[in-house]
Amino acid sequence: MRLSIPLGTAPKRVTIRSAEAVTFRVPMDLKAEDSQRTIAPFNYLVHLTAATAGGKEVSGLGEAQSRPHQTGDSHEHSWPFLDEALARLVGEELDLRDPLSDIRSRIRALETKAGESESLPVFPFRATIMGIETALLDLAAAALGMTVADLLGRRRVMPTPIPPVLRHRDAEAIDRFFSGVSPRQRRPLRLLGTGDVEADLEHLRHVATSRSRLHRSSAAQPLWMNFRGRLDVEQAHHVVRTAVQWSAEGQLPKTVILQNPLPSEAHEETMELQRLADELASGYTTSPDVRLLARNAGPDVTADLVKSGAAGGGLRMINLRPAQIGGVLRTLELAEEIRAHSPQAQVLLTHFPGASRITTMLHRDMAKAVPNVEYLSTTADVEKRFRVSGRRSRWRRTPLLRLGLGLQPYYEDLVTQARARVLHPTPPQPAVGNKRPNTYGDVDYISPIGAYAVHGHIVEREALAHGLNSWRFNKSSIVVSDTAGTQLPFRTTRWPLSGVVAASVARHKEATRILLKRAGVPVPEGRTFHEGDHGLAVQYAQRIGFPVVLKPAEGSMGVGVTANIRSESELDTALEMFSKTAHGNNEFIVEKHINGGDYRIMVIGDHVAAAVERIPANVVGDGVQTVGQLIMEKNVARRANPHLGPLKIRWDAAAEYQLHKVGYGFDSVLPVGERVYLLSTNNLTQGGESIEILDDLHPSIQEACVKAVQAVPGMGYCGVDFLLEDHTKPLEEQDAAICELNAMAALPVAEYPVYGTPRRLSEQFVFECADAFGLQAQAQRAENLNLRLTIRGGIKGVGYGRWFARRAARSGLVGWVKSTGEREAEARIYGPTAAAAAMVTVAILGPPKAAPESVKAIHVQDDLDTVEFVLLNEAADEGNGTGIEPGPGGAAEDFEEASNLESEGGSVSDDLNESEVAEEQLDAEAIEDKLEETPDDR
Amino acid sequence: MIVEPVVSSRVEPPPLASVNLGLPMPFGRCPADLYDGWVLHEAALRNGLNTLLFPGQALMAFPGEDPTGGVAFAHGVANSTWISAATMVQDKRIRRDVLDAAGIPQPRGRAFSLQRGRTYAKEFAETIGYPVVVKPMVGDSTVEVMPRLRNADDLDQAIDYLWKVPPSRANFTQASYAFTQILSPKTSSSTRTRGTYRYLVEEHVAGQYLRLLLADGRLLSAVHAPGGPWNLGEGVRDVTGEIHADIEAFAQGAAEATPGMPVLTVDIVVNDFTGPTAHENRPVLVEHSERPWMYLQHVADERRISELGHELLQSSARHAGLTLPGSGMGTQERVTFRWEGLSQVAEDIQAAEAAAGQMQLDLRFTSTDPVAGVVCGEVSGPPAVIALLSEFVIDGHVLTAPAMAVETRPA
Repeated sequence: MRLSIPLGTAPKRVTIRSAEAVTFRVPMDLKAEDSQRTIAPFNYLVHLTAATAGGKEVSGLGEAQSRPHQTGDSHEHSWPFLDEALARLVGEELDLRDPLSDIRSRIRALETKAGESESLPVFPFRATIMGIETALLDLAAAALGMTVADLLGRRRVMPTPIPPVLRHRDAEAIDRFFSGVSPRQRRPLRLLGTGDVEADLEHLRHVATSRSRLHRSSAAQPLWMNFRGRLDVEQAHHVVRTAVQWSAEGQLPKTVILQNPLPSEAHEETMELQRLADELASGYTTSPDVRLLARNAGPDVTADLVKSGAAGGGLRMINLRPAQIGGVLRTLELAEEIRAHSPQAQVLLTHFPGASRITTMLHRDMAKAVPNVEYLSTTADVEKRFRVSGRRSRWRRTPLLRLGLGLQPYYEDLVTQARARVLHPTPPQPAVGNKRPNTYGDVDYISPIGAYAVHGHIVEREALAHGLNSWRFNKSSIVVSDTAGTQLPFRTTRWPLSGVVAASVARHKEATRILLKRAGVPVPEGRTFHEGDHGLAVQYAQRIGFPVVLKPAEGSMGVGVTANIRSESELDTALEMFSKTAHGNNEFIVEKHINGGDYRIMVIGDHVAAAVERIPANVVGDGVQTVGQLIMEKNVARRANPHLGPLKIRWDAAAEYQLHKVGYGFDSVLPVGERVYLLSTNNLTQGGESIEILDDLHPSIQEACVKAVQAVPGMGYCGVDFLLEDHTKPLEEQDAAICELNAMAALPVAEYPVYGTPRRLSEQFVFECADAFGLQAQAQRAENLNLRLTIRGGIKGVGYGRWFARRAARSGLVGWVKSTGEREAEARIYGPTAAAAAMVTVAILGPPKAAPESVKAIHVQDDLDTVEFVLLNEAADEGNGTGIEPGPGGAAEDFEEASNLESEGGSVSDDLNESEVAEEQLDAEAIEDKLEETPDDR
Repeated sequence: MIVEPVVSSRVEPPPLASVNLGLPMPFGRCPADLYDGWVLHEAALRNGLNTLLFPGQALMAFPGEDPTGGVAFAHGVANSTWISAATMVQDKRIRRDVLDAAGIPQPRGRAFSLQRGRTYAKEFAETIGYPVVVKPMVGDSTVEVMPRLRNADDLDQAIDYLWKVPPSRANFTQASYAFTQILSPKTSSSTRTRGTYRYLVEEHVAGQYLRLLLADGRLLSAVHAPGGPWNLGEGVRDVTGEIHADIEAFAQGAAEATPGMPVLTVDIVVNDFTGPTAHENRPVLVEHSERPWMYLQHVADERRISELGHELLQSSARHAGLTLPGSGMGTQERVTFRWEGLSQVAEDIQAAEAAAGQMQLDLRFTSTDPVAGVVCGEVSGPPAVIALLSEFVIDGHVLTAPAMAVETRPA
């Protein structure tokens, strides 16, 4: 059976031109009650492009759901494997006369290359290989003008999605539910067991009764209960007996599916239960149909099940998960085998939670081709948050016209979601215009802390590095002390050397301007006007001299701002325009326009400690990649910056506008060496770049900065925002002005610049304080730290110890962690300063459900008698079984329970929205730090 | 669009009382949050200092020409107060930990989030027993405290109150130097606080409520407020001379535990403030603030305010190495002034003249510049009232819009 309508002549082969892979984290609510993860897994997008001999271009997409325990893909190994595999594919010819054989042999070669290891008896990287396989199948199908279903050999038109879950257990709610379902709707229903056998059976019967009464059209549809592996063998026997009996008596529908009655490893026992059910059923004339469904399993167990079913019967239903058992073609082969030996067996085709539409489209197509598929999972979780792919064509959507899976990468979202990316062949680096950004060795330690909390971390790191102890309360607050007990509080750059008045004054731009002007520091003259005072504003502009800027007194993001107004008539026009904007009825500011670059100059005490020029987000063309790909490349490269990594270039209306102004679009390929700016503002938070230039900063500019800071009483630290035409020239030779003082300016801006010299301001912070308050800090920076940590707060039962041990081990630390009470744990850590200090900061975060309240880090002298990192008294760490990565067959990894709720109106996706990009996925504290740091949205 | 439930609550925090100044309305009362700044402003004028005042009650008081050559305050809080120390005590969960580590007894308490905390908060309240006190975790001491919640229903109501977005709450105020919290709702159409907002549930402690004001470790004032600082009925009185030395030592201990605050207010509850602090009479610290909150001293004994203001000014002068010129002013004095950042000069002049009349000040303008938004003039009257006018000019009580800077110099 084939549905695709052939158009034109099918090409005989295609040559692969490029191969791209993009890693993204699967969006998940890790704080959800049933979440068993502490970190979201990666999926890989595989994108191949190819051309026919006639020059026609085609592309193929695949997705790899890499899940270390289930698919043998651990990112640190599977990603390089994918990189290499893709590099080899470029230039290869795909034979389209027998595409499945060609693809099969290529996949076999990859499997061989992946090899087997002791810990993984079957070949590793199964998901990764399936991602490549999918892209090849998609490519071949697209080239041949058919769907993947038709390429694989279509057997049916429409598959059935896995039925939805009814979560209500309350009798009234169940009745209400069935009363509300359309009588025309006929579908099976799934229920969740609780482990209380009698209650679960009663629930099953109640749902059946209620459905027969209130929704007769579905009365004969199967009922399905997932026991989530909570029964023992005896209880499972009881359930099977009762189900068969009740089904025979008509209290349950004819078909009842009992899913996962026993723990995950008990596959053979589940087969025995099926044999029992079949035997019992044979005693009734009504032939009840009770089916046992074991959990999905890896290739070995699945093969055993198939063999056992073939030998002794008992295989009536099986869950095949292609990514777990070894790919598309292997699944097809396995299903053929099942059909040959157990023709009655129904196949469920499922994928892991956290699939994008690429995977669900593939599974839909597979379900049309794989024999005996009865149900398949169809939920694209990823697309609830962002898009990985979009349709290739609006009109080629039907199975008659669709080419392959019909999808192409959706770079608009991927530019910010990409965690890693490879492209083969590697595009040439333009010789000019594209300096290499700085990279930082501590990025892996620091990145879990989050962009805005980095400045809360680095002062603690330096304090610890210089022999001081620390006491941390949240991401940004610490108390630093020496052995004599002198305590100094810090909240990021709120430190003991600044007073309350400095913070108060710097918050008011207008107050700052007046104060600085009195002190003889260059400021852009300006003032606030009442709405409608246009005449006065014009007089004022004449007095201070053109050009001027007009902007709303309150507001941000450049809305209502007109810059570089050069004459009275231009100002008249601008004021008229302004009165028509949303800000038109509000106060407005007229200010001298300074035509300069944007600099943030850091002053500590009485000297300039760093100076950073900020330029807007931009990309530089390489003659090969589109703007979208260049943005993604830049964002991925930026991940090597501990501070700016998560603060990416976004593709939005503002970027589109800027690009359009210079005649390009998102899909334009930029000429080699051409730089285009994607924003008009220099915000580092929106992908802007920082260049540290202190060595070239003219002394007169430095003097003006110090003078400005000293004009504010008690300002011990400040980020001076200076507009300068040329930072190397004397102040009097250029148009320049200080537009803002930031009492809370973020240290990492200068400590982790994209280009230029990194300046360790945090260390200067510690030394300044040590000098001022007589703290006994060591002059020499320690290479290693040996610390005792006391962690207090809500850390019980959330897997804190395991999380800590794993994080510490990954950071190369040695030591131990142990629970020491209901709300307390203790740890010893030893290792390189950057890693150990980051661990102290990260300890206040903990795994997603933890709520630590304080972490005390004290230097100790005694040596540790371990060479690794261990979790002591593991039992005390036990909680709800939260782990980094669920084990094989973990309950939370079962299909669709988390995403397909019938009764709760999509509450899960609402929850996801609740946490959604809660301001770029930051927690409240991080947003607050951001606010402090960026009062003017810089 | 999601329609949110209207937030309403029976339980609301008692407001901090405004202080009666004996002037005709609308200038007859000074709000509690402006009071300290005004007292220090008056003290500066009395000491013959020039003053420069900015929004957020940022006051510089100085001899000569250099505004940084004197002392400075924000809301009457000395600039020698470390910004990080003020920030730390405004986070009451951290403050609890720090004081606890120093062995200062406090009511049992724990922080909860709006989003997930309600059930746990109730469980915790059951554990420590009602009545309980609820207060925002981050914010100025004593502001929006809901004391004496008698049961789970009251607690529910208190949490409901906190769900109302802070800027729309009648009694919400925060210092101009406070940590920048996100106090806006998540969406512009919402009126609800963000779910990550946290509050503290604390045990209610019965006994005598005492406020102790210290400067440089020295006790300046003790006030007994039987109903707490929110209830200024009968019985609020100055007990500086009556408290036992142990109580003073207790407050000094609390001050030492939080370095960086030369002036601080410690609120305690004790059975008998005249007795030694043996175990039957152990004080419990309930509030701890960098802000003096002297409105309470005003209610207890108005006559002491000038002296307290002078003491606090002196303390700052010592830190700055400044010798005060001394009480240059008498009961009636004359200063020149300069107001900057006015947006409607003509209307503002009219409004200022009317206000000065009501405040019985003799005010005249000597120059006006509507284009630059600057006016200058002279004013004479009692220093306290001159200071009040300046504070109100900046705060927006007098002019069409707040001025951006007010400078005064003795004439």
